[in-house]
Amino acid sequence: MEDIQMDDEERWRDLDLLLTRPGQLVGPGFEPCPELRAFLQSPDCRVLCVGAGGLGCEILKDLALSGVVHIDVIDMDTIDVSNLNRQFLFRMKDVGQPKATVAAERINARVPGVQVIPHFSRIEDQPAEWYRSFAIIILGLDSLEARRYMNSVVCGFLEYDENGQPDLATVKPMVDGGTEGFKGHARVILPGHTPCFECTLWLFPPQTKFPLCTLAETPRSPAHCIEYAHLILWGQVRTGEEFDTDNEEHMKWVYERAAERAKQYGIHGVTFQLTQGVVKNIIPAIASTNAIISAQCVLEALKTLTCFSTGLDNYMMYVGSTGLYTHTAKYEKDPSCPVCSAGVPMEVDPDSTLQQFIDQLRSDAALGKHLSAPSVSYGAINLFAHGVFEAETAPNLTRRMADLVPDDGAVLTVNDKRLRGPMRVRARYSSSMKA
Amino acid sequence: MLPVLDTLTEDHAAVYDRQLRVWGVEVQRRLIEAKVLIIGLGGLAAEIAKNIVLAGVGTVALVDDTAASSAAPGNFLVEPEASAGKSVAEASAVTLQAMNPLIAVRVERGPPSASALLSPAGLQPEGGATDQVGPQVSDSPGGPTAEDLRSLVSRYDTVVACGLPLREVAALDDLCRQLGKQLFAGEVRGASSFAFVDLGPRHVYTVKGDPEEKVAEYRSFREVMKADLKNVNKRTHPLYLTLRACWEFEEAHCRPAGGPADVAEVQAFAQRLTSATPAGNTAAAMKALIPEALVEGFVLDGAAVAPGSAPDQVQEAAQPLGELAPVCAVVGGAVANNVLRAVSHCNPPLRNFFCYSYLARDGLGVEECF
Repeated sequence: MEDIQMDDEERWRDLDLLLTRPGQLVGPGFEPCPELRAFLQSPDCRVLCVGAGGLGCEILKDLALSGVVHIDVIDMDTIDVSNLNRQFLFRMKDVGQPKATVAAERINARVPGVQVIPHFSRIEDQPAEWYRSFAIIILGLDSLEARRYMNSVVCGFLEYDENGQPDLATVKPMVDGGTEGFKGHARVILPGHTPCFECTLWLFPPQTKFPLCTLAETPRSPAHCIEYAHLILWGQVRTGEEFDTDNEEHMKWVYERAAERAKQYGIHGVTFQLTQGVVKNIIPAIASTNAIISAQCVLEALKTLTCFSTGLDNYMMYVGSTGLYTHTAKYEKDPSCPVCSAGVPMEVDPDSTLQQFIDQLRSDAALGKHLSAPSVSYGAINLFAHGVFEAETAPNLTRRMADLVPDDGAVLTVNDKRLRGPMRVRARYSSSMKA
Repeated sequence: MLPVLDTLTEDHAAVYDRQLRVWGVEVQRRLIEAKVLIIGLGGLAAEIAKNIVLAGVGTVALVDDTAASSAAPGNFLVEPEASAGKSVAEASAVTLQAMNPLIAVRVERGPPSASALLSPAGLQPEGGATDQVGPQVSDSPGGPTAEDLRSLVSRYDTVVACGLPLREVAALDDLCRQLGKQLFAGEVRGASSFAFVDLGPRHVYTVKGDPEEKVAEYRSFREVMKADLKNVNKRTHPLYLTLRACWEFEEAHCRPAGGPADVAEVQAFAQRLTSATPAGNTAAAMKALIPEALVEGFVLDGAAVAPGSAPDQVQEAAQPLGELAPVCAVVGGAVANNVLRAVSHCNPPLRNFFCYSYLARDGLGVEECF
């Protein structure tokens, strides 16, 4: 086997076309030079791919073929037969194996010189510092919750200077992709500059949850019948037994009860396939949409790393069902976003105590619902922290806010086990807020 | 025994579950019955092949007897260690078949080319460089004849040919139209990419929820390269005129433009074409309509064999160049979706150009119809 030459010019001619020539659409400050590819292929440029499924397989392929060398991939799932229609790195014999491990093996075998490191684990099980070590993070996730978690971790690194400007050294870029059927999106998140995931949570339609009375009394659709069997009847008839979506007999039971109910109400359309779809919340998926969206994400990552072209600003949606339609929207940050903003402004009585401030937080209409037992810090200083530092910081609770935090408009960080990441609050002193 | 979907087997239903929920059983059945021929396996073709294989197109045949050791870097289907002595088609077929054991992946003999269809005069280009590209493993010294290619195409429904010189695209398209076959052509060439679709003068299709059949008319590549310029306006994607300029160069020189020496002439053709359009009759309008960098880049970044190339340079330049992996994936995804629409006769397929360049129109992907 010949020696692998990562700096082989012929091999990377395509990439060099982009990195060593000026162009019409280059990003600000772009300087074409061979050092750009050297950087892209260096250990200083580690890229994390979150997810090794439909998007993940494609993202890994595109990154490796585009010359990136140091890639990590994390996924807690194992391979299922229904993945094989799009997760092209996997074969029937791999069913049951960890996705991250097999994906890494295949890419490493196919692309000489690339070093993909797999992590068969939940994203929550990696410390925040690990995520900080990457130059950019690309998300190939399939749930809102996982995205919110990653968003809070990445935005948690963000710091603002005294002028309320984001400290560029703490901005960790993130690219997020998502697909369903022929639709998809790709977006770029630069914390402090573009809206974060939380800023634009309103983009997502409310998750379908049928009212219980509809399920119980007035079903109209096949899905109502299915959820009746799944959420109501199961608990009544098979008490104590936990419903397992991977258990064929459980699924069959729900399907049969749903079919009976549908017949009773004259509703058509209950099939076993629909039952699985509703109960497991199956997302329909095809290969081509994943290919397009993943490629878009990798292109944006390459642009962010090298500036060879102007970046997506900041949210692209794609619809490919009857043609090819894309639309790019420039969404705005939410200035009072609890996750990425310079701090949700709060008027605070300077004479109030830290305890009173904490009570104020907990009773705040917008913020209180995220909090049960908050800790508060000011920069690196723990003002009050539950747990290990509780005894040490408890005396602060009776101290005056203006003594603890002399600067008006200071950004305080609030942590709570119910929060996914730190929340920022900007305390503005106002004597009219006398407690 | 749980109920399974009607004519599909249990295996199909298990593997295809997620896509059956997108397009349904009837479309899947039609995909299983379709036969697609792919000529040339560079990065773009590899992406198209992956997508249609995973979608379950029943028969996918590959033609590319270039040695696997000379495979395009963007062809991720060729496994370097396992491909000694194989052709690009054979090596790619191994991976594709493994990706979806439920369909049939075949290898057909032949080069990644339709040059056999060109008239005898066209086989004597300037400069001595030939149209046959790359070392081949076939044992037929002269390559396939026009009759061989005709016989090959007749056994399939749909032909996908990426990275061919434009005269070959036209000749292949003529053949497809004669035989009633569908054609997809295209290329990812550095900054710019295009796809062209010809489904014949009368493509019948239905739209979901509407039982009434609809008909779409497609024009041939040759017609489109000579279409009346009065329909070109300032919003027309400049790649269309770029392709026409390259076409005129090929007609004049019996070889594709490639290399710095050809740029000026192609640019001259481009300017002449632009000035003949309603929108391009001033110097300023011309510049806006067709950025110089676009034409230059297209000529330099492509697969052409430069005139006067030494024999060993011919070997290297034989691969498609300028194929950045993510761009191949975007264009490959779009083309694959249209192949699936075309073979299933469901939903209107692209009519008839897809143009994508980061040197024009803010890098938007645009559908044009000529």
